[in-house]
Amino acid sequence: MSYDNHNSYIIFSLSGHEFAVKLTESKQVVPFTNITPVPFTDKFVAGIYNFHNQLIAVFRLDVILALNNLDSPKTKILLLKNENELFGVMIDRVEAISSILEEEITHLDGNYGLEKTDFMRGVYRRKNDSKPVIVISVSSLIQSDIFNRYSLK
Amino acid sequence: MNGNSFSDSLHKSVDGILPEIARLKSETDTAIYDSIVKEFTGLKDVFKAVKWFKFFDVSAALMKYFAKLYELKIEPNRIQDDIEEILLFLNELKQIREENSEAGVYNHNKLRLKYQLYDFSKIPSPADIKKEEKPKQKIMDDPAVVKMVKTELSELVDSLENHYNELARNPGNEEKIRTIFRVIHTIKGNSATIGFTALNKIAHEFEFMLGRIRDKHLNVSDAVLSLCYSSMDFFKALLNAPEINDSAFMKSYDSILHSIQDIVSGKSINSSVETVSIQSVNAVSSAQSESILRVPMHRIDSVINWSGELHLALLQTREDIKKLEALNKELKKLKESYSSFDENYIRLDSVADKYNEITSSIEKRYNLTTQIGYEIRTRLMDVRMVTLKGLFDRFPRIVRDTAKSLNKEVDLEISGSEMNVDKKILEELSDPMMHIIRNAVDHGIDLPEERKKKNKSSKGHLSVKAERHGSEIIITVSDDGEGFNIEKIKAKAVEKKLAAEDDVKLMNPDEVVQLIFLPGFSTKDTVTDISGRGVGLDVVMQNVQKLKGTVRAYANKAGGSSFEIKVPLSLATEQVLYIESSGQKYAVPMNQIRKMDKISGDLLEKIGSNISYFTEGSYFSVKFLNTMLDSSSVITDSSEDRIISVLVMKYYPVAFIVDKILKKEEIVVKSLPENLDSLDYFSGVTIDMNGKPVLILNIPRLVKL
Repeated sequence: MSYDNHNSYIIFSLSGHEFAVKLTESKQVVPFTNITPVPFTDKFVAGIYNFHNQLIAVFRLDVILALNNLDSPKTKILLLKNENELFGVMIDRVEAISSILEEEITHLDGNYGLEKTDFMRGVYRRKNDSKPVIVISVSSLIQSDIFNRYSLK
Repeated sequence: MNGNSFSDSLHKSVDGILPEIARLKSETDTAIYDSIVKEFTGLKDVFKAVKWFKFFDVSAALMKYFAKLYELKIEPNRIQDDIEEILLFLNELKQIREENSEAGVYNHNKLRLKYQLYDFSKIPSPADIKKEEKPKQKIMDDPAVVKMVKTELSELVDSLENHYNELARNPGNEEKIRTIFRVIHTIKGNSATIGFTALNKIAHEFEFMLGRIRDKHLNVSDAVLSLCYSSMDFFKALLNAPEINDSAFMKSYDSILHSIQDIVSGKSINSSVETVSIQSVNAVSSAQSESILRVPMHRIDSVINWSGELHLALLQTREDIKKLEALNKELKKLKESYSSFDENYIRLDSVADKYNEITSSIEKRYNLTTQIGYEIRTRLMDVRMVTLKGLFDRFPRIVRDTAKSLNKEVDLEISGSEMNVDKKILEELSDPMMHIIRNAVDHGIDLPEERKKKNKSSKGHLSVKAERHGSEIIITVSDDGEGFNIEKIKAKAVEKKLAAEDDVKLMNPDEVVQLIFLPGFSTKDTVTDISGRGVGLDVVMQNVQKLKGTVRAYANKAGGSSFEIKVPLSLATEQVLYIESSGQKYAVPMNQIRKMDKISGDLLEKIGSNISYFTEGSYFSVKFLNTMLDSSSVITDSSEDRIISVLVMKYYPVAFIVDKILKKEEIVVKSLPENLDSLDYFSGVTIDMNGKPVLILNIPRLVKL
């Protein structure tokens, strides 16, 4: 089965919630090691990670979205890409890679226990599973104010 | 005569004169004036037919002027300034649609008066010309300068494509408009410095149009976008052939200028702009190839990057060698546990011997490879180093031209241009320096009359000085002009809502001066061609910060104002000291460190809440690095009976207390990731031998905390 079509999504869990990003907008999942914390930044900046000698900023979505869950190991980094930019977010684990059709993504209406932000495109419900998956747009995420707080752009 | 046929015959007539006048730039024979007189007679009649008497008068004055030149046999090289002026005037003539048009930089009345009442006795004698010509040629015709500016211009023009693409995707993007505005502004300025007048003129008009869009008088319509692209193509063509000398070029030039004017005046355009075929032009430019190989920067950079990787790989090898040595010791111990007659002893002994041999051979090779790697790296860095001359040599012309257009007189003094800096730094410095120099002549130096009133020599003095300061280069531009008008800056900042009135009241003069670097700040009420429009110093600030440098302005004690730019000499490898603070490793550039000490805590002196350290005859203010870098860490107590590690800084009266001093290392400097690049507390990142990123502390920034 090939995943390279644009309907494929990576579904990952973080602090008891599930999120999905387009497979075409993600690069790789790497173990959380050797991250260098960066002083003078807010908590949502996890640090700098060395990905094949390319330095990458890693962010904490759980802080950005104010998720509070005690049991969140955050043992992996999901590398996301947008055009030439590469950055990482910390996740608990990858749950699945699924094909999600555009019409299966519905408006984010109800309260899912997290704040609604610009980069959430909508919500998708897996069959036979009540847990909603929040679909995130990487290109909107990278343009959001919080991501550019320490950027010269 | 209807409008169209008038414009046709005007163009025809001007096209007839232009090449003749252009020939005067190199011609020595005065016979050429005769045909020019005839051409102007024709032009005069064109205006007579439509009863545009102002232009009729100018043409008649020019006709008489050339007739007189012919009569007096005045060589063309003695009237070069006039020729430039007349060329510009003729080029502008083609844009004019009505007699009282305000378009163009030349006041036609002034021009008419000048040539009607021309004082031929003031034309310099051939002897004077020879003396004067030299500096002019040096600036205009210095191929190195022209080449450098041209390269920069092409990069700027190339960058437009991306900006236009993004603008096309989102026409409401105001930030993009401002960016494009700045690029065009720089193109305008740079093209003027090397005498690309056609490019300068179009950029000028284009900038005006963008200004209207920025100020929301115009929308980014399809017409605007297609004009953006077609003008960009034309910019490229112009860069290869800066002089408009054939009719196809002229047509594109006119067509673009008209389109801009149509858009600005609200007329919609539906015809697409004709552009020149660039092919023939490219053929000309590739003809010049000498024994010098021009290599794109990115190719050199990729080699430098690889040499950096080699360096990292070698550091890891060194760690491996250490492990081998440790194993060797264990082997020895193992051997000693047997009696010397034991068979195992003999076997282990021979293994240990071979082992030792291999280890020392690897070590030798490691040392050699390290040496080679170092040589390659330094030589590669040398390839990137260029003198400041290529940039500084452009200043005399800018100063002269700017001063002339403002009726000011300026003496320029340049020093330090022989200094070497990284090419990338030189390139990035170019725009900010140009802005500052123009700014100094425009806003800094006062008019001759005013200077006389203040008992100063009527000639202003401007100095550009480069000095090396450790691993940094400091460029200072000082003028002896009016200096900063603190009250005016305050008022302007408040008026433009760049600062709150209450805040401004509390600022000291030095803080007030720095307000001029805010985006949109401009104290001149009128927009000038030189440095107006509120673009400039904020761009300077941005560009310098990109280089991890700083820029500040201050009032000179003796009057006048100064701008000081501080940038690193090189961007690549650096000697650092690894230290530890709050459990994290950091790198401190060695050139910032005066010395490192391990001292007993009681040597620190407490004066009030300040702690200082006395060494080498001076006091250093003590800062605890772990509380600076990690707000959660507990302040290290007075630590009187503990041995503490102190880093005494070289350029600042500051000493940092660190948890541990690790070791010196030659490192490869990498930039912070894009999402974190505004954090000026760090000058970069390096990767240690475990592959972990280590932040490099930016000492000049941290000492301010």
